[in-house]
Amino acid sequence: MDRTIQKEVVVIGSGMAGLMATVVLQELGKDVTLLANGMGSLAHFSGTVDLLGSEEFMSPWSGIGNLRDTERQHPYTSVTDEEISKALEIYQEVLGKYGIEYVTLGSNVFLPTAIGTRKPSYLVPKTMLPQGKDYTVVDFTQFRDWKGSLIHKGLREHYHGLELCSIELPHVKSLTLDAVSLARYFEKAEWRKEFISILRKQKLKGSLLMPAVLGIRGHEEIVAELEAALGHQVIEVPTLPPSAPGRRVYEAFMQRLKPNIEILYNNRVLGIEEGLKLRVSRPGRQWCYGAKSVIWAGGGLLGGGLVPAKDGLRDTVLGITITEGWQAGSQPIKGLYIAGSQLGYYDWPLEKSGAGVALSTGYKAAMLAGGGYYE
Amino acid sequence: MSKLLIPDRTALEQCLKCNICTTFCPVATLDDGFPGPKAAGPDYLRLSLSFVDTDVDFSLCTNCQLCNWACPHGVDIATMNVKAKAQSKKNFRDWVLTNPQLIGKVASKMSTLTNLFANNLIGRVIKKALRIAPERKLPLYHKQTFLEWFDSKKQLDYQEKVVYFAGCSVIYNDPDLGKAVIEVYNRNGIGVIVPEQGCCGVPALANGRIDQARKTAEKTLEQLKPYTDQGYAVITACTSCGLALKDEWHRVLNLPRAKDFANSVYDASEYLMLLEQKGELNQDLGPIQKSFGYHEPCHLKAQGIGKPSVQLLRKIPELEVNELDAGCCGMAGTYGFKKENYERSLTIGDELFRKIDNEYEEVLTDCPTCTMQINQATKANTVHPLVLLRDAYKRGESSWE
Repeated sequence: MDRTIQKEVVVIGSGMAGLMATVVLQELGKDVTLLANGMGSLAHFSGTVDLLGSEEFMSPWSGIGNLRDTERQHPYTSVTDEEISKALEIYQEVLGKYGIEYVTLGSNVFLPTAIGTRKPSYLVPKTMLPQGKDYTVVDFTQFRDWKGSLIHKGLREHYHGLELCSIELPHVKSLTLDAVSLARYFEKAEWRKEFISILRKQKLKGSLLMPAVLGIRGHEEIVAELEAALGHQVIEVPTLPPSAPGRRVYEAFMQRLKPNIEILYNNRVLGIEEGLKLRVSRPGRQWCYGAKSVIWAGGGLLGGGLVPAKDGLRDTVLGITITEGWQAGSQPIKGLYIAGSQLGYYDWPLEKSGAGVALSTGYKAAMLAGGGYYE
Repeated sequence: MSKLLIPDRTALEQCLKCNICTTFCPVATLDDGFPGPKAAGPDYLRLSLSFVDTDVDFSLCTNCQLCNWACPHGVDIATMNVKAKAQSKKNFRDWVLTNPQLIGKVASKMSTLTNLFANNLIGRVIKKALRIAPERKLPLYHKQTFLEWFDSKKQLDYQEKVVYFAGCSVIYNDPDLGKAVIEVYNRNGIGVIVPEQGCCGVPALANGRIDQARKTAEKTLEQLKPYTDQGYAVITACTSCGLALKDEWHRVLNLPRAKDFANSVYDASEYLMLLEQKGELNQDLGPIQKSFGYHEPCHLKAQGIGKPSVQLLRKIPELEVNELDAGCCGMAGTYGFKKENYERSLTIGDELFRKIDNEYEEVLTDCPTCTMQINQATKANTVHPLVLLRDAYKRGESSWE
C-alpha cells in the first residue's frame, strides 16, 4: 500500500512554538498535520510569558530594540515588534477561550518564584500577579517542591513584613507528589472544603502566596472560591516542573486544535529530504509524509529537537551538527521553517525570553509557511 | 536481580526525571499508593542497579502506555513497568484472566450454562473464589464462535484480500463485530481471510507474565506470518491486539521477525482510511440520524495513527460524532476485573462516565474492554465504529448486489 501522505503543511513538535504555529495555520485554513513525539516541553513551562527581562530595564520592548542593534543573530532580529504583539494576542485569545485570563502592565513585572527569588515577566496569568501590601507564604508540609522557609528567607527583603505559615494538606500521604498530581486534589470541591477549614485556623496576613497547583481545569474559579472563603487574595507562584500552569496552557491549545486539526502522537520524524519528504517512525512502521512546507519546532535540549554531540548540538531530524543552534530565518531545506528553542544565538533562561521567542518565531514561521503574508 | 530487569542503559540515560509521564498516569494522579511510571520504571531500575531495595506496588500499573505517549525523550517507561511487574507473585486468578482463548473455548462449548451462571449466584461464588470484583459484569459467550461462523467459500470471489486478526473478544464474545468487519470490507471489494488464530498475548503481557505472553504471541505469529510473507495485509478491529501486533511483539517481547511482520499490520479503520486517500473507499453510505460520543482508547493513542474510525464515520450523512476527550476509562483489560482494582478502575474513568451520562445515550469506541467498562459504568449503549459503518452501508444499499 502506498504510504506517502500528502499534506499542505506539516508541523513537527507540540511545544510552545509548534502549537502556536499550528493555531496560526488553523486560522489560515490550511490542511495541517501536527506530528508530536511526546507531550512537548510545556510541562516545563511556568505559565508566565517572558519576553525579555533584566534588573536593568522594565520595558522588554526597549530591551528587544537594543538587542537587535547589538546581537545581530538573536532570534528577535527575525521578527518585528508587531509580529511579537500579534503572537501574544493570539496566545491570549487561545488561553482566554479556555478560561485563563492573562494580563500585562505594559512593562515587566517581578514575580516571586518557588525558590525564593524574583523573576521578571511580561504577560502573566491573572492569578499570578502579585497585588497588595502584605504577604504570607503558605507552606504545604507534604509538597517537597515548595519549601515555605526557603521562599520566606529569599523574599523577605523584597516583601516587607512577609509572614510564613505552614499547613498539612488533608489526605495527602505521598511525599513524592508532583505539582500536576497535587492540582488534581484542588479540583475536588469536598477536598477544598477541608483545605479551607485548615487554613482558616492559621494566622494569615495580606495576600497568600501559594504554589501554582490550584487545579488544572477551571483554576480561576478555584482561586476565586478560596479567596472568598478565606477573605484574602491568593497568588499563585510558578513551581518546579512538571508545571500545572504549563499543563493548563497545553490543554488550552488542545481544546483549540482538536476539533479540526489532525494531531498524531508517538510519531518521530527520522529525517527530511529535499523536496520536503518526511520519514516518520510510529509504532510498528515507517511512513512518509510529503508537504508544501514544514515547520520544524522540535525544541532544544529539553524538548528533544537537539541532542548534545561531541562538537556541538546535533539536530535530531536534519542530522546536522551545529555549534549554537539554528540561526533564525535560516532554511536548511527550501520550504522548511525553524521555530522555537532549536534556534541558537540566545540564552532564554538567562535572558528570560523563552516564551517570547517561541511564540513569535512560531507565529512567523506559520505565516511564512501558510502564505499568510500574501493573501 | 532477575535477568529480565537489566535494562538497556542508554534507555535509562534518556530519562531527565521530569515527571511528565507521572502527570499523565491515570493511576498515579489519583492514587497515592502508586508512585507513578517514572518512579516504578526508570527510578526503580536505576536503584536496583545499585542494589538499593525499593518498595513499589507494580500491580497498580494498568499498562495503558500513556507514559510512553507523553515522554518527549523516547524512554520506554511502559516496558520497564511491565517487566518490573514480572517479579510479582503468580496466582491462579491471573492465570484465568490471561488465557482468554482457553477460557473462551471452554465457555463457548457450554455457552448456555456459562451465560446462565455469569451474572447470578453461581457467578458470584466463582468471582469470589477467583477474587474477581463481585459487581463486575462478565462477558457473555456464544454457541457458535466467530471462527465457526466464518465461511471462507463466500470470500473466494474477491481478487484483493486481507487477513483478519479478530482477537479473542470477537471470536468468543462479540462475533457480530467480526461479521461487520467482513461485510464492510466486502462492500469495498476486498475479501477477508480468517486463518486459525490464537491470542495476541496482551492479557498475559499486561499482567507481567512475559514468558507466557511470548509463547502465546510466538504461536500466533507462526499462524499469521505465512500470509504476510505472501504480501497480505493483516487488519484488526481491536486496538490492543493492534498495538501488540504492530509494536509490543518486537518492542517488549523481542520476537524475532515481529518487526518485519509489523509492517503489514493495520487497524481495520486505518486501512479503510488509506483506501479513502487513494479515492477507493466505497462511499455509498446511507444517513444515520443519531448523535454519538466517541471515546478514544489509550492503545489507539499509542499507535500514533490519530483517530481513523472517527474520520470514517464523518462520511456518514447526518451522523453526529463528538469526541468525548475525557481520558482513560480505567478498565485496562483484565485490570478492572480484579477485586482489588475495581473501585480504582471506576474512579479513573469517573470524568468520562459523568460526561457520557450527562450528554449521550450512545457511545462509540474501538476497544472491547473500554466497551465493557462504559457499559458497566454508564447508562449508555456502546457500539464499535465499524458496526455503525456497516449499518450505514446497509442504508445506502444502491451499489450493493
